[in-house]
Amino acid sequence: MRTIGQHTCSNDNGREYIKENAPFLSLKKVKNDGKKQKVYVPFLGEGYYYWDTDLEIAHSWGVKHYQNNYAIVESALELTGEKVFCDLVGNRKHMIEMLQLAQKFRPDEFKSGKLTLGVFIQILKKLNRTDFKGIFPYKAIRAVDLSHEPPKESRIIFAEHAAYSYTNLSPKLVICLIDKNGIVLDTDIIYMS
Amino acid sequence: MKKELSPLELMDKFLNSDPAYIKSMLEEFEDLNGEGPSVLEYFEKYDTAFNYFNRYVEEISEYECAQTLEMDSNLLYPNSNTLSWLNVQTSKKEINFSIDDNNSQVYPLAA
Repeated sequence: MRTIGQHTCSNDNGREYIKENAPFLSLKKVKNDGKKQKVYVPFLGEGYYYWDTDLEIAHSWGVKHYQNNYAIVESALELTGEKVFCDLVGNRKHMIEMLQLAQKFRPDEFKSGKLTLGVFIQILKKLNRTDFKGIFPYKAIRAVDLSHEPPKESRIIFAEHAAYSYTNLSPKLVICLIDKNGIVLDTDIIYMS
Repeated sequence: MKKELSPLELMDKFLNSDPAYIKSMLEEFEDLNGEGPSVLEYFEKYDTAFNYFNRYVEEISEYECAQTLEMDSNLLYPNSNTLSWLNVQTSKKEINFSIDDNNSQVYPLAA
């Protein structure tokens, strides 16, 4: 599958720097609130993040996270191969596998909501790099962010007799590249604030 | 030819490894998962979003809330299905909510 991704980044270092280096790696962050240290792991673990074909979200991310001082880089992404692309949006086999892995790994923490996907993916990547090659071979992951109810403008109901059943035609699809080589085909800066 | 193990079989193999090895592999991650009551426990306790928000605002020091709150604090709907993100850290001082007359919508205000 080939898609177009939008990557939002700071424009602090200027056009040439972005052109040379984008996309940028998103790493875990350590914050200290004075009382204790807390580590924040990105949603799908460390990697290069894109929105899947969603310029609107790329802009809102820039406004929010870069105080309106941002650039958007667009890339063609080659997401092909059962063992290259873990698709938690459109591949049921991958979803079931992730579910079963998480349930097996820490059943209680998974059930209680304490096992986060970002951390779990970091663990799987470490296992894959060491003695358990094949447990998580992927170079890219895609998931849908369901944190908000879809706005009415993007919903369409399935049938008149079941108006409560609808689908969302503008889901927030997040793509995380663990390894961008062979995935990012070409990159252009399409916006600078 | 050696059979390739599936991801689930590899997970089994890992979980059946020497406990000291498992510990060494997971040590760096132990502090990363959430502490305190989980989101699901919280939802089970407070079944409506309105109550949830009230309790959330009151008890934020006890219940650390959601990582995406700072990421995406536009209009929120008090539907428990949409509030699963309320599980990360922020502090009571940083967030205020305004709830409309019908208790049907919740608006986060600027800090």
